[in-house]
Amino acid sequence: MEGALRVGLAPTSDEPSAAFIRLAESALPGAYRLAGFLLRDSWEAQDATQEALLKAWLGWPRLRDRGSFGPWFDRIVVNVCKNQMRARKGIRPLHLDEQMENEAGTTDPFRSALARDELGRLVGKLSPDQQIVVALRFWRDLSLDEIAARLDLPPGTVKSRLHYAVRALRAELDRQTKEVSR
Amino acid sequence: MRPVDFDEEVERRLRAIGAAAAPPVPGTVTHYLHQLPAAYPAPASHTKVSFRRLSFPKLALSGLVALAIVAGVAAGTLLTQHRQGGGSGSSAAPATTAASPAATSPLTPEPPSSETPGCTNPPMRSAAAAELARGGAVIVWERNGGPDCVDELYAAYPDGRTVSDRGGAPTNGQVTSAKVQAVIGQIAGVGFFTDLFFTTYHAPCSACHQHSVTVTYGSQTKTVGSVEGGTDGPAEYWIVIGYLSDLFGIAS
Repeated sequence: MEGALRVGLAPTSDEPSAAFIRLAESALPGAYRLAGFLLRDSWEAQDATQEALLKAWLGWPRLRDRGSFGPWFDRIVVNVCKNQMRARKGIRPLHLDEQMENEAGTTDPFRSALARDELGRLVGKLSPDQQIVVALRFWRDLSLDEIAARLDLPPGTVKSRLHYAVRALRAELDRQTKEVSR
Repeated sequence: MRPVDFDEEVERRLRAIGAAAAPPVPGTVTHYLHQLPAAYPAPASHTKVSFRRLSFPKLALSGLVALAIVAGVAAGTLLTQHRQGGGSGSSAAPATTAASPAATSPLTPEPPSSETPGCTNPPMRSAAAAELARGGAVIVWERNGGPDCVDELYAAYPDGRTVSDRGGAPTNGQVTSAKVQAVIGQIAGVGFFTDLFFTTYHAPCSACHQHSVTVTYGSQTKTVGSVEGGTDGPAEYWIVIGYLSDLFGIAS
């Protein structure tokens, strides 16, 4: 019976993979960029994106609305990144080749972008949930409703998290400005 | 001079950081994507049934049809019992449960599940599942809710015996002992007993089943639960569900 079932389904087995690849390819740039900013490292972003791809592929048959692939994939990426952020609990591994990268002028694009502004460093001090809404809002350029859909949260909660995140950043900048002016 | 609004400044600076980095997706990631279907054949998924591919209206319609069937069967059962109650009573016991060992199984005495139209997500029967595991079942799988509003409990024993409770009288089945062992091996093989498998919970949507799987492998017994549609749990959990659907002969 198993055999009959498999034989019966064989002709359509290529179709889902082709559709999956097509949709994933279009979603990859945004997802990789999101992972890069959340994890602040391109190597970790690669790992996270690949893990998200695997999860998405395995969960693909359960995605009923193929039109919502982008938000669905973003949500998987966010969850994978969140797990990694929680796992390292604020400890950012220093790559041994970081100095060599700097000398060669081939710095990590995410690390160098975040290092351009003190705010980039301060964002890393926010809670993972706050970092996620900041990344989705300012680095993924999504509206509050789009963020809410990706995080499966009410828009009000997203707005609140964003508000507190920006307020925390502003407070920290204020504190630093006062220290400098003394 | 108009002072700069600080929130605006923070937001502007954050956007500037984002604009500073838009690296292309590394070739390794794209390559990985193209290798995925070959490297990880789709889980039972593609052998899964069809209602997942239906659009929402069709899904809702199929749910209503299922409810109507369930209601019809329930009404028929009540009518039959009423008629039998008025007779001699000598043939009232259903033949299927008369001498079945499953009649004394912990599957039966559980509280009634959903009685209301529309799925009200019947409570998980964790006590019954634990009792089955203690009673020697090496695989216990509970599935409830979903568009068909099921309340199902399955168990498999090392000798190949299976018990299925799909809301009515539990039924016994038999597969080979080797089949049960093979499925347990497959489940362990995808990491069920590692830290990668952990329970996640979401309020189930009307079209999502809740699952709880308990597996005994050697000296280890572990229970992991999940809800369909959740993306924060282990993706391999659904491979396990595929193995179990195959073992118990259901279309999950």
